[in-house]
Amino acid sequence: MSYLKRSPWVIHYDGTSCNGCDIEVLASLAPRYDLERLGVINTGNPKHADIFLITGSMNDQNREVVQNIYEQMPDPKVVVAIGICATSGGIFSECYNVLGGVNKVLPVDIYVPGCAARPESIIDGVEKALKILEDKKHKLVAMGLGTEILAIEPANIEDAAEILALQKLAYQSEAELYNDFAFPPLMQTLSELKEDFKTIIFFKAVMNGIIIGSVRGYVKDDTCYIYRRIVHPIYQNLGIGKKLMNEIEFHFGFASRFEVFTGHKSKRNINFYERLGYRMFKCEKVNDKRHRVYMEKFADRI
Amino acid sequence: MTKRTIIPFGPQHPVLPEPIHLDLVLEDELVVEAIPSIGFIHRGLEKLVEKKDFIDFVYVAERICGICSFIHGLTYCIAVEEIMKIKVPERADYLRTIWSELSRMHSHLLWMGLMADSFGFESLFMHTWRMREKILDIIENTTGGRVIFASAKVGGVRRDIDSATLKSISKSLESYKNELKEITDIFIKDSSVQHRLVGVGVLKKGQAYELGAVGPTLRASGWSIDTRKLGYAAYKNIDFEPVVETSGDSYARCVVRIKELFQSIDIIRQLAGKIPDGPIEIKITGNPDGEFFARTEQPRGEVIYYAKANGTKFLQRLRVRTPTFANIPSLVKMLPGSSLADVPVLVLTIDPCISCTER
Amino acid sequence: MKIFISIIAYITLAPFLGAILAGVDRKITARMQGRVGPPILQPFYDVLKLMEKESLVVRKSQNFYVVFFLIFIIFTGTLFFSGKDLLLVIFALTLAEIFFVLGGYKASSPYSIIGSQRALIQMMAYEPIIILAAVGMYMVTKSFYITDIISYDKPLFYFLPGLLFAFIYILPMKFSKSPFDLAYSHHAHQELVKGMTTEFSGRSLAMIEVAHWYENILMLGFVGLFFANNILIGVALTLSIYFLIIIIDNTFARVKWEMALMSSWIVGLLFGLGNIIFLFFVLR
Repeated sequence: MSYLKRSPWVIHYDGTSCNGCDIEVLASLAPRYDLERLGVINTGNPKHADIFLITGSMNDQNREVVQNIYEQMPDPKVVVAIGICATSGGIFSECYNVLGGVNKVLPVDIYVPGCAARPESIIDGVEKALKILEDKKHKLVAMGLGTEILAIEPANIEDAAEILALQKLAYQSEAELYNDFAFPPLMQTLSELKEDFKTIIFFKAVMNGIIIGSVRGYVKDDTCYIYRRIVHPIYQNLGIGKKLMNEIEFHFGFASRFEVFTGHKSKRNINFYERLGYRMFKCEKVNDKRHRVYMEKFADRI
Repeated sequence: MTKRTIIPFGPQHPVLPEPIHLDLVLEDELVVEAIPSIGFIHRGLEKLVEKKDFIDFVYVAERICGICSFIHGLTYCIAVEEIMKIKVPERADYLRTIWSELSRMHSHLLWMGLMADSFGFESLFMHTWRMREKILDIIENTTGGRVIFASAKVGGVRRDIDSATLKSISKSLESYKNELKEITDIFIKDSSVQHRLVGVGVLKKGQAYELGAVGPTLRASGWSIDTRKLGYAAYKNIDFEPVVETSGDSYARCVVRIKELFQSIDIIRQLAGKIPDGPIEIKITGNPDGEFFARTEQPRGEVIYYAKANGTKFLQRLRVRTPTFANIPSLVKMLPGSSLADVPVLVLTIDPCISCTER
Repeated sequence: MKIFISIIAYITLAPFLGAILAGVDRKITARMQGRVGPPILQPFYDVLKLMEKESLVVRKSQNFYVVFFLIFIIFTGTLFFSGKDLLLVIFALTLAEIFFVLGGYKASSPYSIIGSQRALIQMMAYEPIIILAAVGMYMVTKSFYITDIISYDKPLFYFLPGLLFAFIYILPMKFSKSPFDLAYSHHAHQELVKGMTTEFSGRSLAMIEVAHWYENILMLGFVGLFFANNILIGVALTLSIYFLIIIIDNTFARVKWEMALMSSWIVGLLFGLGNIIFLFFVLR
């Protein structure tokens, strides 16, 4: 039984908020709405917090601050974006200094709409965040984080079958997004994959002897092409994708440019790469159902 | 040579509701220097006038700041109306003034709660915000929103308050005054509160004027300057005098705001009694062409809106000078020489609204 | 045998009692502020949750100090409740506090260092009064041993009213409550973020919380020494003093360290030392 649900400690930060949502967050802790009856304490210290309440959108100056606060929070943790500015930039999304909502910088778990979001919505958002928090805790326990190390290592040809099975499982959700099941990752055969091992470097994420993630890449003309980043659906959103990317980028550290691609509807992937420093430079039509978005990063941005 | 430590204060700090960064150079808990670093809330919304037409822009103007939201919208409307030489109906003026005073009340109560919290008196913070909820109830009853009202528009107001509601507001405010007095008495008379406020951050009369302070910060140092005396909206029809204190420390600024609270209750009751019947809006035709400086009194001080239009439906330029921007030099002057425990009190005593300052 | 039972009783029961008292404190505080408040068992949930979180440290050695803080608080408590030497209890308590302060220094962030400095200043403020209280009890009962103190036939506060007043004056410092919550405050909005505990998280923060529960029971036991001759009345009066501390917490702002230090020395001199000098002449 996890006690995270009974004692969630929050930390609140204001991005570029006009203050409306912030005072509603403080009003949730005041007598009429009283979040403390759920056990919520407003600690000002990221190291003591479980839930990160952000209001307001992101601009260049506060993106590092927000990432800093997020990284200081111990696991498990959830991010709740409060107000429409935190969701997408709101009425200010066209301003020159606004990058967009919080999901450009952090993985957001709950979005609370409103301008300004009412305390009732905020309390509802925090309640839903509690369920997600417990969920994450169970996954972390399953991963044995802290008692066992998740290993990221180069993969070899014996792993091909396992990686292919994982690939077909992980790309199911992408295929559903485009309603296109004749999609290259799902169509690749085992012999094709084994052929790839000769020219492409594969990395695998292993835990308890089972492969739960993988990524592959190669270098051509000083550009490193990274693709097929997959993580088992149960273990997504726990930072494994980022670890895989870090490992392969480090391995190919001598390249001066990195390129990735993803489908145009895969907003989570696009945001994920943006957080790692990639920027979109090309969009190409693959077939009637899908466009591909290409993103690049230069070596000095790592 | 005593050891110097540098404490990074903000942008994320439990005492600060908004992000502002100060590098405090300390010698044993005494602040020697304070180096500010700003820009965390800059959105660049003045440039949005080029994308949103002048009637829609009032919604953006309201969201410059969530606390002084209504008066921002109101000043924008006044600026555009004066350019177009439109006279809004009298009833609309009275309604606008009532909402402005309600706005002022909720802002001062919010400030009082945050101030109590900053010197460790959490109970008082909770009680003050509990009182504030009653004002928010009145606002929600009449406009539909707790924080952003969306009632002001170019040409008048969007909603009316009928006379039965006005009477009940007037009555409830009268009984509210006594409950409020219990809480404000703690701020004024309690010894531990005085220990934290008296003598902290003294701004002498000459200094306050030279540094360009506005609002309660200026009035607590002995100047009787209040932009409401200009007589915009319905202020020309009511009787009031600016609240002035002379000692210029944080205690005086607190007392000024508390007295303004009671003055607002009085003003609202006067307005509710005198409000004339009539239409609440006037139809707008055509586009603005010209320029105007509109000045009004926000809870934090004088705000100036400069609007320039060139005959199209987009304004050419909008420039906002918010009161916190004018008060920041006073803050930077007060910090050196204070002790670390006083820093939150000093930062809050000018009632900073960083989202107004940086827009 | 009796000593063995009281040691086991303290080690197992004190954290439960301490946690329930902390929960009651939060509930009463909330009700005084017009809110509903958390359930009374909330401190248990907090500590159990903290045990489930990841532990992030600045340096590995900072947790070592927290472990010693916990061990020494338990040691001091067992000494007290098994009736041993009061002076040893006082100095062992000081030793435990020093371990906590060292933990704050080791974490070496600006906030935790200033928090530790303020904790040392608070120690300068309250240690004299606690020692004076022990001296006063010796003068009345002619012994430093707790078993002798509690078996004295009259309630001690008849002879030591001034000392009791001074002791109650510094109790908010030990419980980290207003007006003297300078180093570490339960309330969120403090200029030092979380003071000494800023850089602790997960298991070590849970240990600090449990150590504070043990410490609270110990301090209440100390207050109880003033009324020890009748157990029931003693416990009732001690609990009402705890309630008084909660009320004081909700009616005062936090004071600055100069005021905390000066006022507790003045109170200590006037009431504490004055009491002792008076006793000296009376008991001649």
